[in-house]
Amino acid sequence: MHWQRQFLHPMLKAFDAPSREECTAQRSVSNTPNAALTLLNDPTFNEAARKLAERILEHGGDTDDSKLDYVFRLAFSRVPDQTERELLTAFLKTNKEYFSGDPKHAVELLSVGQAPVNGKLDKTELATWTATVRALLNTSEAITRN
Amino acid sequence: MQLPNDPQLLLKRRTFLSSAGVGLGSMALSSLAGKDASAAEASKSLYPALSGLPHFAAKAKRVIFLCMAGGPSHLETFDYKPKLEEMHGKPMPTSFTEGQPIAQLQGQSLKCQGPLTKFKKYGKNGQEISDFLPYHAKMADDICIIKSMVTEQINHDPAHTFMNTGTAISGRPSMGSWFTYGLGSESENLPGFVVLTSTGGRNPQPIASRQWGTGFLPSRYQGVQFNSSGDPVDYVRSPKGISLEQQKQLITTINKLNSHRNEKVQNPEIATRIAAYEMAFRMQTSVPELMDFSDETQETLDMYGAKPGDGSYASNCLLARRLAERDVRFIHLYHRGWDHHGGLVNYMNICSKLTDQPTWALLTDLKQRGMLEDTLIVWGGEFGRTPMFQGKGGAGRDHHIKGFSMWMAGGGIKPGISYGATDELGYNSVENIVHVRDLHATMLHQLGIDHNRFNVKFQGLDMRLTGVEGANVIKEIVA
Repeated sequence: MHWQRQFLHPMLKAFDAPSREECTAQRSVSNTPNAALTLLNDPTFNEAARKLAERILEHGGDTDDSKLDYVFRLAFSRVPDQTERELLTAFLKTNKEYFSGDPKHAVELLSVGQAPVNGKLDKTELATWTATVRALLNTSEAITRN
Repeated sequence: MQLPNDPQLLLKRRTFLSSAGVGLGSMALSSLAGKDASAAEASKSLYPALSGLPHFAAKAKRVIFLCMAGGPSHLETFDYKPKLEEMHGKPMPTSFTEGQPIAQLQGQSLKCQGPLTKFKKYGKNGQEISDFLPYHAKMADDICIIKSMVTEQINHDPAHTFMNTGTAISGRPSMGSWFTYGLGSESENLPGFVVLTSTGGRNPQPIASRQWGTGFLPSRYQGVQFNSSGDPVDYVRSPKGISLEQQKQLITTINKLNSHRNEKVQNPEIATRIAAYEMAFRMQTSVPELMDFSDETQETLDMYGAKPGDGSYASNCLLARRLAERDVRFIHLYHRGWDHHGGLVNYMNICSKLTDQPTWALLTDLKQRGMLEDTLIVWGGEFGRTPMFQGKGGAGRDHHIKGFSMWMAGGGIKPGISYGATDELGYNSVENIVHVRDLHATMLHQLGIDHNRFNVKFQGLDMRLTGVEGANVIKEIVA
């Protein structure tokens, strides 16, 4: 991470990072809309979501259920319960409709970030799972240790 | 391998003990709070008011706190001391300074420094205002100048902490958090406590985000800092390819996952996060609209001297009015640049040029729109400056805590008066002394809160903004 005293990285600022103009014995707890917007919309996190989605499509098995199991183990060290499975299955369905409805949306979402896109994967499928990983990585369980 | 589903099975002994403690505590709390908690949940607002608040009819709905960070000199703004002029260059009498806290002048010979500008009387009651502040002169009949402030901390950071939280101990809630916690926020689309900063003047001192922290209050009441230049809030736009409708669905799903998780782990930070994500989504549309000054007339922009997006105090003042119109509860501006240890005349000119007119514009604009009566404006630094000379590059003044000036306006404060006084050299507040805690008590009073009854239990104590040493509402300045 690049630190610059005169211009704090926007992501760090969103989490109330100290400006390093003075010592900080204890960081303040930061749980604000600004932090939420960063995790939702910062290209860094959307790029990370896409790369994780690529892993899911490559290694997560053939069904939505097996893919959910795979990503839950990676992100939370557990498998989803029934409620989570139902929520995310519904989410996958509407996203699949959205991205197959207009292929431009998928191309745009996949273009976020600098890492090259795995061209072997279906774009609609990859965008759908990228959206789903965005949901998972924005949960409290993924963000905090506790 | 099948991993266990139930997080309870994943708990280690130590985690169990600590979370059981929290769990029992929160059970006790919710049974104590009883009806309050369910009433709060029923409310649509993300920032509901505590039940029973306000204690009585409020004069003001919101606060705009204009912090002149660094500590402006009272002796060159509102507190004219002819005797100090007479004594200029002579040794400062030790009867004033002996045993008193001193910041940078420690061990140096202390000489009197006469006022570095002229004063005139303005308004119906002849309020004394210096030539550095011609626009303040125009609002002499609108502001109540308190000339007898005292604080307890002589260095910037702890003094800000003291001004914001009523104590120098870090980790207590900022006043903006207290107000928003107690009264909630009526703004549906913006945070209840917004912070804006600008810079210009001498040696801008850092302002840490701790200054708008919530301490032991729920973290959703923490101040949210908007950038004053560029996008006010970073990442208010969804990623490419994601429509607003998709984003909404995403956030709904995140919040459902979080609340489902919270049924098991019962962590108040998750509740805060759900509120934060909800607010984040609303801000994706409300913030661009807030920042779009195209609905402001050229006349208004000229009045403030604001160029949209320039990050100036002037733009922040205009933004403050727009935030006030959108029912934000506590709007806290910091202008960093008032630390005039040397070159005071030069830097007073710079700071006054940057802040005098916009402050007047804000007050006047609110007045024209009929909003001054329910908006409490507070202006002031974290402390004042010494009657003694300091010469870090031309005549200046050191930090001073025993007497300084602030002003309040609107929100049911008597306009056009001065209150309290310092001694003949402007060193000690001697008449109607106003401690920071009294200021807090008065601010709370104007928003309908009895500071003695506004407690939060923490570490076995009844914590309050005004502390335990006693604080008084300044009845004489309340209209």
